Order: sequence, then C-alpha cells, then structure tokens
Amino acid sequence: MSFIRRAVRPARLAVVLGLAASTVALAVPVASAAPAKAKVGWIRLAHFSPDTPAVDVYLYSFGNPSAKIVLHHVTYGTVSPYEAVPSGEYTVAMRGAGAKPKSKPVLSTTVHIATGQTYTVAGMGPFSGIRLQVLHDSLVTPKGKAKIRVIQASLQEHTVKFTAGGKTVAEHLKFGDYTSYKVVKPGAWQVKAAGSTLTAVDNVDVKAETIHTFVVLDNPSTLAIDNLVDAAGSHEVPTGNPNTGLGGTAAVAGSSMTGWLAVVAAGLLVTVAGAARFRRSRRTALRVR
Amino acid sequence: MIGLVIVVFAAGALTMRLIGRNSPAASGHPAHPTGGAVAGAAETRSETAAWVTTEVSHGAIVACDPVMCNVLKQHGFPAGSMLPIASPANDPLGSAVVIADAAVRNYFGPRLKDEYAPVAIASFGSGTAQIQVLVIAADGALAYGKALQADQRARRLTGQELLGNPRITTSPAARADIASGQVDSRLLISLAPLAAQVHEVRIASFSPAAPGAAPGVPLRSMDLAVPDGTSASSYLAAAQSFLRAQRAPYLASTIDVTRLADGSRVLRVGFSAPSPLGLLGPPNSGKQPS
Repeated sequence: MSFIRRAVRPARLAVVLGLAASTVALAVPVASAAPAKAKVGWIRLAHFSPDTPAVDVYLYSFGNPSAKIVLHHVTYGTVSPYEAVPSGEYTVAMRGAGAKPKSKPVLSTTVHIATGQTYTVAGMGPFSGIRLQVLHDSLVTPKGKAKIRVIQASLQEHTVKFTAGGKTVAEHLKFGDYTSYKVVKPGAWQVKAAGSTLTAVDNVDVKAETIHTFVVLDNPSTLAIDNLVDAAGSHEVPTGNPNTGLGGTAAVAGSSMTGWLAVVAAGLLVTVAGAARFRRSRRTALRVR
Repeated sequence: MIGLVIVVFAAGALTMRLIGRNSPAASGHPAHPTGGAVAGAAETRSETAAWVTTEVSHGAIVACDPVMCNVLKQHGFPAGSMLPIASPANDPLGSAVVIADAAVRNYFGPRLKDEYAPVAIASFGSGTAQIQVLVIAADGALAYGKALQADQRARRLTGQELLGNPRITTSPAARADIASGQVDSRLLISLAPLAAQVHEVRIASFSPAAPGAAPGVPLRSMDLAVPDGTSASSYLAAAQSFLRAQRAPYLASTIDVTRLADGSRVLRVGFSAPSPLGLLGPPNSGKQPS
C-alpha cells in the first residue's frame, strides 16, 4: 500500500507512465501483427557470410511506414526468430554494425511477403560480394514425412558434401549454394558436412512433419552444422528456439523482436522499482534498529 | 591499239570493283544514298549517340556497326564498352543493347528482333535512316517478352502498394504512372527507404518515355519536390546523401538538384538504361516451395 502511494509521486509517475507507454508502443506491432486473421507473413534474417562483420538489417514496407523492421548487430551464424509482418513488398537494406552513425543503409534486395508464407533473408557470399538472398521457406510436409534443405555457408571449404543417415543429400555444394527442400523419412540421424579437409558431424532428431534447414558454417579451423527448425507441424510457424549454432543471439522463435524488447523494458521497470523499494526498506529497517 | 583497249577495260573493271567494295550496300549500309539522305543519316546517328551517351549505362556493352560506334566514341561513350559488329558473323549476344541502324538491320534481317533484341527503348529518325536502340534478350525474345510483362505486373502491384504509403505523395500524373506500372523498379524500390530517411517524399513527375520506346519500357527518372514547411537545402542534402550512399543496381546515375521554369527546386533522380527486370518480388511468390 505504501509502495503504491510512493509510486504515484509526480516524478515517479512520469517515469512509470513513460516506460509503460514505451512498453505499449513496443507491444502494439506484436498485437497488430500476430492475429491469424490479419494478412501477415513471417520473415527471419540470417547472416551466413563468414568474413563479413556484423550488420544491421532494415526492412522498409512499400505501403506501411510503421511496418519498418530493424535488426541490430546481426553476426555470422546468427538467425533471428521468425517475425510476423504485414504481407506486401519490402525493400531490404544493410548497414555495417560498426559504421559511422551518419552512414546510410545500403539497399540490397526486395522481398515480397505473401500472406501465410515464411521467408529467410540471408546474407550470403563473401564480404566483397555479399548479397541478401531471399529463401522461401516451407511450412508444409507430406503426412508422416519431414523436409530438409542445406545451405552451404562455409568459406573454408570450396565445396561440401552433405549426408544424412549415410545418404547423400547434396554434393559439390559451393559457398552460397542452397538446395531445394527434400522430403525424407523422419528419424534420428547423423548428419555430416564434409569438405576436402574439414568435416562436421551432428546428431539430429528429425520428427515427422517438421522442416529443417541445415546450414554449414565456418567454426575456427573446422566446420559446424546449424540445425534450423523452419516449421514444426504442418501449417504452423515454428514456436521453438532456433539453434543458432555459433553463439547466435536469436530470441525465442515465433515471438516478435519488438515483443521481446517490450518484455525487457517491463522487466527493467520492475527491477528498478524493486531495487528502489529494497533500498528504502533497508534504510527504514536500519532506522528502526 | 588492242593492248590500249585491254588496259582501259581492265582499269574500268578495277574501278567498278573498288567502288563496289566501298559501296554502302556492301558494307551493310543502304545503297545509293543521296546527299540529303547522308546528311539526315548522320544527324540521326548523332542524335542517337547523344541519347545513348546520356541515358545508357557506361558499364553496359553496346553493340553497334563501326560507323555508329565511331560516332558514339566521339560523343564520349567509352570505347571499352562497345562491341563493333562488322559483319553478320558477329552476333550482338553478350551486349546489353544493340544500336539497330540500317547496317545492323541488313546484317541480321528479321532475326534481329525475332531472336536477339525484340524491344526498343528509344528510336530516332524514320524510314531506312531510322535507328533503334534495342535491348538484348539474352535468353531469347520470347523469354524477354514474358519477363517484361511479369516485371510490369510486379511494378503495377507494388506501385499501388507504394501509393498507400502516407509518407509518399504524388502529382496526379505521377500517380497515374505508378499505378499503371510504368515506373522503373529501381525508383520504386528506393522510394520507401528514402521516405523513411527524409520523412516525406513528394513526387512531382516522372520523365516522359524516350522517343520510340516500346510499351512497357519503364520510366527511369523522376523529379522530387521539397515538401511544404521543410528547409529546401537541408531536405535536398539529406535526400542526396541517402541516394548517393547506394550501390549498383540501386545507385542512380543522376542525383542532381534542378531548378524548374517556375523557379522551384527539385531533386532529379535518374537511373540508366536498360532497366533490369525481375528486381521486384514476383507477385506469385505465395506459392509454396517444393
């Protein structure tokens, strides 16, 4: 009760309202984007260019300026969660994460987000010729089957052979190449990426009606395989956390980055308020003693 | 006497042969041009060269017959970006555009448009002296026609989306150009990010189509007006700064402040020809991937 009284002091009220307003503002895009009835698609961003420093990625909606999306400091091997965005055309731009504050985003490509569809916009190729490639992700599998696809994002190996359960999925995959989806039987497999000298092996459990993208990445002096779950269950956008392999900073998949920021803001508010209350109660306790 | 007759006859025959070798018909040019026709053809060549030098990317390879190439060079088009066509054995594939004058038309006949280059992006002169600037269809004329149609459809759909952007306002004429899919995709793609950077974009007009351009060939240049209540200098500087930071294919060839007849200043943004196709997302990308 006393806390409530203290909380409504003008200065504190301003802080609380400010943070609450920020939280609501951050949450609005989530609320507007998430309903199934809204015309939305899903997009995630990936950085698969080993020698390219971290980038900020911007998506500008042709028709809706409030639908602009910014992802800061996307580093190699990082895959963002899927984010619901209003369907339509977007211009995608990049900016070096360490670039001068006044430097401008550089337009790279466009992506047409169709309602109910999912896409990965991936930075591919070497730094000198990095391009943003739009991959149309799949959400549907034949009943009782799974789908897999492979992206070759290793610069250390010129070509890579990828096998799953001992069977060849793709051979002679060059840097920046990706396969189409292949329908497979579900099961627990050993997946292997092999170049001329380096290899990576991983054990994966591919369940029925899941869709996976395996990304072959550079890890210092070796290779790594990143297992991204594009969808779990037919017609469902994934709700799991994508394995971002090399220490990616991906948030919980299926949630919006802005929603995540809202939670952080709310958490900060609670923490600050709690700390203030704790200090005051400590002082009161000391005075009583 | 007989010897003299033989010598005179032989000299006459040799002269006729030399004249024949250097005649326009033999070199691919129309036969028997009159003095006026020659002057007219030269004028058309010069007009074409001026347009190509200004409007076509200097990084694009331009196929032309040696005479036309020479005129292009005189106008400042880089010699390294030319592919001279001196006989029917040299096809124009590998270039971005071909300048179809009488010589080039004679070399390839109907194959020129049916196979190599079906679409004119500009045309000058008339009759046999007409010169067309044609886009090369690397995958064949049929495929190019389909790609151009698909591109125009995508330009129309995304243009309509752009017209719903509250940060972008247009004159009625500019609105009609966007809505009908006439505007180059590079301009369309640049507009939403530019509006995000400078808060508002007012499109005063798009440049008219080049003379003789085929239907569906995009408009590649626009004039942006300074929004009301905005400092012209800072607005124009901010817009120029953003546009100049771009890279190919989104780096405009013209980013200049121009003063119009009414005294107002506009930012002229233009991209070079030929317009790339397929930059916009396909309108049918809602299909599930396999």
